[in-house]
Amino acid sequence: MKGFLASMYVGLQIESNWTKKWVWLLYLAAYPVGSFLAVIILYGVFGQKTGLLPYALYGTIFYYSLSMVFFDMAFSVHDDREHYQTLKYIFLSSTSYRTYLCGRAATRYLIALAGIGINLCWLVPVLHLPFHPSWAYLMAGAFLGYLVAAGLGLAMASVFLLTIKLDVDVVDALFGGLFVLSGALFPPTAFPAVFARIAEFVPMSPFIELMRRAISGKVLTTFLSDMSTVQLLGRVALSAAILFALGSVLVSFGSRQAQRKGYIDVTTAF
Amino acid sequence: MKKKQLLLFLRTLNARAYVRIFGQMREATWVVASVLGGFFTMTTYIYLYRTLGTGSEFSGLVVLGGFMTPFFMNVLWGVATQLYWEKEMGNLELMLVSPAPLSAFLVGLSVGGAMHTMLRSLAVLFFGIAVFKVKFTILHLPLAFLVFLVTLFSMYGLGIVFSSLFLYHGRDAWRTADLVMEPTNVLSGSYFPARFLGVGLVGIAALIPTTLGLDALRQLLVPSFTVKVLDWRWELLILIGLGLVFAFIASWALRSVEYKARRDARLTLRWQ
Repeated sequence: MKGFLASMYVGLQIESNWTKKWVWLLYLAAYPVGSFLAVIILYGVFGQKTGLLPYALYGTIFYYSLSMVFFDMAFSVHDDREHYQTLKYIFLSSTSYRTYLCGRAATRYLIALAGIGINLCWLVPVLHLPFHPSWAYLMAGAFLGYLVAAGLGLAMASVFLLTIKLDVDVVDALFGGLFVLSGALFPPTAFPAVFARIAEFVPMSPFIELMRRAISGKVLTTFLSDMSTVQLLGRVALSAAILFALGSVLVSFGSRQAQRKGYIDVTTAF
Repeated sequence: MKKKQLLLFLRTLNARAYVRIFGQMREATWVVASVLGGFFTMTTYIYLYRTLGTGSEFSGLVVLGGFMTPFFMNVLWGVATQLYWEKEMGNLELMLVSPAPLSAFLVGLSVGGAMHTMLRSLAVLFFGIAVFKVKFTILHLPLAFLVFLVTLFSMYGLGIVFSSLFLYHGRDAWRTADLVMEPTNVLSGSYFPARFLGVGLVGIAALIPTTLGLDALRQLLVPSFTVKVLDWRWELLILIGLGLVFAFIASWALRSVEYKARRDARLTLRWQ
């Protein structure tokens, strides 16, 4: 736990100590805007009659929160090894690498959630979004969502540990593919039947739908509407358990192999 | 003497462009991942438009946006932030003690960046046309090519302006690029016609060369495109003007920021 908290502190420093505190707070509030600006414009111009704005907006911002964890974990391997050249010191410390990654990403997740919270303060009244939060589901969903994203992030981190020149574009591509399929921006019923079916099994889909219901207080489309909120929570918990366990195993394996192969302190300057 | 300087400039340009073009081809995963990333973004917006029930011509607009977006990404991450990365890797001091001019490095970076991005963008365009059965008119292809080249000139000029600013700054420059990336993509009309932004926002967005460049390309290549910002001829003139202004600012900014960075001892300052 001590190592986890210390890693969270390191994460906070990396995220915030590049500028003055007040500038960072503005940055924290402004950063998520990029994730939903297109949604507001497109649904504002073309989609007013569809009534899908709350679906797309909530979906996008909650996907954004997961992507921060996912991307941060994968990128930190590259960042610590190539840029700051501190990966070897992290391996020398008494904290396991998995704990370090989880701690850093937890800070990134909390920062993303704070940014979302700040933006919802104006988005809800201005866009008349349905807002009847069920705090218990929101808290449970947020925690389980972190585990889902951390599981995927740890798996990606293990790949980055074992490859020297792999670019973070790979994470972007994977993240982009999952974004299309997860139904964050539009109901996957728009897809051909096969992809619509696959979309139900994308690990992010039940999390996003759970959070949509938990914050809006209603079922917004037919996507996953045959599942009750408790069932959705159960599915997110199952995904979280499987993915986090898998990610943990993979990152432990990746760490050992990277040490054996001498990849911990390799710099390529690509 | 002038001939010698020109030769040095061209050799530096060639050397930097070579690394950018061939270095980026050495890892197949980089090319595949960036093409896939662009393709998925395009797919997202095409299906979004289908959900919203807009006309099929919007698929063509998105595919063209998907074609231009990698160039903007390259300008932002491959040119604007490059001097910051060179500084972090310890290469900047070597570049500055060499007789080669810094501006030649940046122009070489831009030329090389544009060429290697072209392959990725063409791949995204190909998949867009093949998968989504998008149709373009080729009647004005030479004019579209001219608009495209002028847009690149203007975009990379803007990239060099930013690179001089980012030379002085540290991690804040990287954070700023990260912050503006997605809003700039949205405002430049990569995913929808820029005219929908309204007059005020389009006026601001027009400072990003992609906005008018994309609008002009859509007028020339998508037959049913009617929601233009201005006539493409005006847009071409504005883009030429923007390119010249950016080139002038870039040349001045590079000199003054380099001097300021030397004076404040920030050229070798890493991890700040």
